[in-house]
Amino acid sequence: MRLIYFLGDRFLQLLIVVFTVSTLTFLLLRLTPGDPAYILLHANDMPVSETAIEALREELGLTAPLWVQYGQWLMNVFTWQWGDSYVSNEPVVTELLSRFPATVELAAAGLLVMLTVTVGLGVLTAVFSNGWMDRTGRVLAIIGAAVPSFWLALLMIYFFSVKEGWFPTMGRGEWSHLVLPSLTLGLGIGAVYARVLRKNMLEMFNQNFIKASKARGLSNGRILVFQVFKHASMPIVTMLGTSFAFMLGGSIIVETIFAWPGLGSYIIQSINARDYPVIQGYVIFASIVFVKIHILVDVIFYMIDPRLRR
Amino acid sequence: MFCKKQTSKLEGSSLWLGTAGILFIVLTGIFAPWIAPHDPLAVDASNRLASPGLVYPFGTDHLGRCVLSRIIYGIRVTVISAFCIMLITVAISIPIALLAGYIRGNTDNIIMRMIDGMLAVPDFVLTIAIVGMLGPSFINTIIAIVMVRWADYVRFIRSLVIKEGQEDYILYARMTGNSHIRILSRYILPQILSRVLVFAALDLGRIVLLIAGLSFLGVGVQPPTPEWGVMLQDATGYFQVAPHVMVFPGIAVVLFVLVCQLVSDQFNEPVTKEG
Repeated sequence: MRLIYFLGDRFLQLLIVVFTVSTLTFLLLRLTPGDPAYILLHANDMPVSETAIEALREELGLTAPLWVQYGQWLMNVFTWQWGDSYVSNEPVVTELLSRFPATVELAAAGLLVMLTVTVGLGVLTAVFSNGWMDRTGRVLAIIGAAVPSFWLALLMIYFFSVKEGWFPTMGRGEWSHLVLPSLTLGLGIGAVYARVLRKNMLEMFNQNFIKASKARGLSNGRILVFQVFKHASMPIVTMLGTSFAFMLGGSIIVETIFAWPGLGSYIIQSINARDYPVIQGYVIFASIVFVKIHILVDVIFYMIDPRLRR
Repeated sequence: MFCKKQTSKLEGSSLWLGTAGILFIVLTGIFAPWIAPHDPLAVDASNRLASPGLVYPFGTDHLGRCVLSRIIYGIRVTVISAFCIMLITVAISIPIALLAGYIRGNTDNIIMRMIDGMLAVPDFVLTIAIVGMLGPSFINTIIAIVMVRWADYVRFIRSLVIKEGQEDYILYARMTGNSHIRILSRYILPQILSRVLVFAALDLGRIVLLIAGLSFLGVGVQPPTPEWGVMLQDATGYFQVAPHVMVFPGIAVVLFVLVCQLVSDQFNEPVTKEG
């Protein structure tokens, strides 16, 4: 497939995702109990009177027929006018963008932890397959998939902060602030992916071209790094994108526990404050980010895998 | 290390261990009033944050409530609501999947594009947003999880329907003049139902993690309901001095997800081999 068609298809996908999610949030907001005008007045500590509510309803366009509101909403979504936060009265887009870098920083650190665990554990368990290390790796992967991040975070806070006092537990700042949150994000999923890498590498060991290299007298280490690992890690590249998206999602819990000032903790604050435009904006923003990451991964894959270009 | 035959790591025992574990946990939940040593809501003001001991095997929380009893009653909330979510999701997704997988064409295209759209967003983000807009409560948590999880179910069931629809006996059934409805309900559905239920059962652990996660964030099950995520949320202010309030509910979540995984490992292998 030509890259241009490929990108065109993906762009269409992006539009569909944004459309689906926007429609969903529009419908949800109409289903929510309570009048947005009332909530908005209440949130701003303004006197709530019949006339004030009526005026505000007019201003927010709530008096128009539903399909007009829906069309208007779609227009606004695609022109980045996602309304103002009820709490701060700032545009939702500004609010989200200002918190985005913190979340990306956390997700990137989590990704680093994940990669280290995946590659380290995956290669070791594949090389020493069926030994004690392999069995440990299997148990770790099962536990890694079963332990919820919120519990892992509490355990690590207890052992590394409360007992030992090694790392701070709140906020963002120096590198030490990043340690516990990124470990929480990356450890479990890293152990799970290590199993995938191990399985791929074991399959590679049986391939004929590896046997041929072995017969030609290449050293085990050389074969391992330049042939087995290189081929076995291809699927991991696809997973990188998925897991980065996964981490942006997982950051909701982790940011809330560690008071990390990113998107995740902001969405929980907004839910508690009934700040509907922010919740709406968050889910649209998140879906755009996720789809873009997927597109990026596909393009990278297209570049490195010659079979896709035929 | 090279050219070695891969040994199969499937141990039949883990299937039985997993099934027994799930059964044990569900039965404990059903018979909670007879098993739990205390009332999960009873406050013992003189015994706040008591360490595990004879009267309170897992200690007490910040209000002096028995942690063990709350965990046992928590099974009812978490696990049983997870079962409900699973059944509702299956009930919703089967008709949609039959429609998409059997009729194909544009209906299928539109449904699949929507599903791809939903699956592009991590389920936790969507669930949180839906709960956030509907308002945090137990019922809304269930609604939100169903609204998000159905997409995955439809995708899986649809693939089964398509595969089944290409079988010769379906062609024969059509040639002999059976109606579409009859083919779907009498031939295809019974064939795929068992695999759908296995798929759904494997999803239980994931749903439990979703419920507990949402409750932990304060947007799912609301206190004072004894639920594992709620208990962990309650523990955040106290575990520094009384770690048992955080350790035991966490173990409960992990154990349940583990036994689900033990079962799912057994089924995943053959399923992926077939597909």
